Amino acid sequence: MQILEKEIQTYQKELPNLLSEQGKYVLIHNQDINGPYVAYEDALNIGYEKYKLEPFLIKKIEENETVFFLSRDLQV
Amino acid sequence: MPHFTNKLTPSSGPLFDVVLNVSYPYLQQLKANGSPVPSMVPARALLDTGASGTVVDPSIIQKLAISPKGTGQFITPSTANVPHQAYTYDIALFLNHQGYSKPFLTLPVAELKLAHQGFEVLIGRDVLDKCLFIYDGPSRIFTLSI
Repeated sequence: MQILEKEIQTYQKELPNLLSEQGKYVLIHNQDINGPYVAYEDALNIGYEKYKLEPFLIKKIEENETVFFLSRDLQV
Repeated sequence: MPHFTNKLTPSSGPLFDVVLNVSYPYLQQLKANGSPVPSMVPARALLDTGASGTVVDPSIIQKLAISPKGTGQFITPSTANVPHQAYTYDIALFLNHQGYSKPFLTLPVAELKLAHQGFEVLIGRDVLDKCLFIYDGPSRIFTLSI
């Protein structure tokens, strides 16, 4: 995944240090980590306030990432 | 709680019309920046209790001109036990009926191809959890309270 590649790498690197806040959300821009925030909306609002129209990533802190299930076969 | 009843379509089932836009915080940022604001996008949606999250077709993402804000893992019948990684986007979704509108102003959704199935949005349980949905098979109708 090329878009947000730096941010994804930052999240994966920092995840072990974030696990005490599981279930909350972090906001990541390049290597900067903000939060954690209780709600996705909080992270999103602060992300746009702080980074404007620049790319940023929001991830829910989870040791085992939630998998979404779709009963239909969708094309990627 | 306003509700509406519609006929089940023979091919797809419970379909109804929705409107999508960029998420509210992104809309505010575009306005503050003096950037052009995308038009609302009308779309056909399928109510799908088998989907844990909401999915939109790439054409919607293209029309809204938005970039991803997250990633997610998805399992479909063909992925077996190996989840497919996909980007997620924040959008605003409006369930409209007879002048009433239930907005979801910051909804994270996945982008996967749907349009070939006759609809552009798959409404999953993240949205249905906030509604009352009645599927009346024998009468070939469904009711959604929003």
